[in-house]
Amino acid sequence: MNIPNKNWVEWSVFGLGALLVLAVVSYLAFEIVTRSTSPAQLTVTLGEPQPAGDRYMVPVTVENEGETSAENVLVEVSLAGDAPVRSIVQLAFVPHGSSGNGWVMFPAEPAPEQLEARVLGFEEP
Amino acid sequence: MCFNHTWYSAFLSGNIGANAPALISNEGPGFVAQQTTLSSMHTSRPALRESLQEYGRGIAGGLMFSMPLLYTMEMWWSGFTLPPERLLVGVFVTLGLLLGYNRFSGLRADASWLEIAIDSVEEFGLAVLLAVGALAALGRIGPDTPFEELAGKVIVEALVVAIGVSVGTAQLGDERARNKEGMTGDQQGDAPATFGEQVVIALCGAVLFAANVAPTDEILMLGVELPPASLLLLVVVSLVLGLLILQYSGFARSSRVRGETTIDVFGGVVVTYAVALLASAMLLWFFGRFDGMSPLASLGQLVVLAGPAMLGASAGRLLLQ
Repeated sequence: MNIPNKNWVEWSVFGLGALLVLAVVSYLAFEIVTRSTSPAQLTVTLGEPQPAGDRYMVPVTVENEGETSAENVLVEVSLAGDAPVRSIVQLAFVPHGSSGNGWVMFPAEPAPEQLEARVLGFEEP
Repeated sequence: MCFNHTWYSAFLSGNIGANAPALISNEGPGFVAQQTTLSSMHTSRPALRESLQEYGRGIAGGLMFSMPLLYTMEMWWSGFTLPPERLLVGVFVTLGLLLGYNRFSGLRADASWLEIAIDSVEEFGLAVLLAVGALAALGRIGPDTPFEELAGKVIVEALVVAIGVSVGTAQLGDERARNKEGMTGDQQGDAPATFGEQVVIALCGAVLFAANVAPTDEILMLGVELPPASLLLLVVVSLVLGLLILQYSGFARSSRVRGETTIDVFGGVVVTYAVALLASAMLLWFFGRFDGMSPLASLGQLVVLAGPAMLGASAGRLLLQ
């Protein structure tokens, strides 16, 4: 077969293209072989409360260490004490191996040790 | 829509010899003279400027045709929700469509399969880079994005961008195509396209059009909510639109696919619709729209998506030389 006539730019673009095609195919093949299909494993961590106007907001980070993504993750953060308060935040998507961020609001400054966070549930995409 | 224009430029680049009178009336005789000198100049290695122009067209086309999907959040999500098996099938089907499109779109009549394969690989590579650039510019990926998420998003978007790059390279320009084609293009210009070629091109067109709406929730909503009578009406409308484009629109090149007898006319439309349904099914399967759906809901989505697919399939057939 004849080798097509190409200049160095065309050959470099082809080289790069071939490399990328190869990379994509081998990455996907690797994923297929190594992937397990365990459900999403979500853990919630809370950050430091910050004042926001006359309210306080607390950063919420949800990490997904499972093998599938989670959709519409509902997180509840409750404040124990004399006047218990419950705040809820919903995260549209937490991909597997990734984390999603949100905030919950409280009317008064919450003491970090009195805050408790848990995932209420999520949808399988 | 810009498509009319792009077909038109493809038309100009495709059949200089066979359609010289039509061409002169549009562009003047000087155009033909210019073409002759160009094709005699480039028997050897293409100039750097031309290569860069061709890639420039590819980049522009890739972004133009895939922009709706670069801006669609269902596409970003598909990147990390679709199983890798499906993405891999998507990569191979896209490479197959690129090969088919590059081979049969009529602009590379004299190119060997090796050249076609090299072009297709180049287009896929460009598409990956464009997808990275576009997603980064839109803030969908960044240095902090975990690799799995980044790879998924880039691969899903690159599939559509790649077809856009291919269509853009071929349809947006005419200079290089003319040079490449040389003399064989003139000789083969009037040979009627085979059935297989028409099906491949129709499939490419159908995928390019239908992919723009396939991942959206609207298809699911329409497919589930429309009563059977409306779905049936949609089938009829799709067939009539195909008939309009293929037979009566007077689009550039439509004379090549226009049927002579009634059987030709309706047979052509029905086959095109079958291709549209196939493209629609492939896309819906890829985006997981059949997963857990009842047969009726699946059929509904199929018919809803076959509408845009039919427009693309009919238009695609006009690209054939």
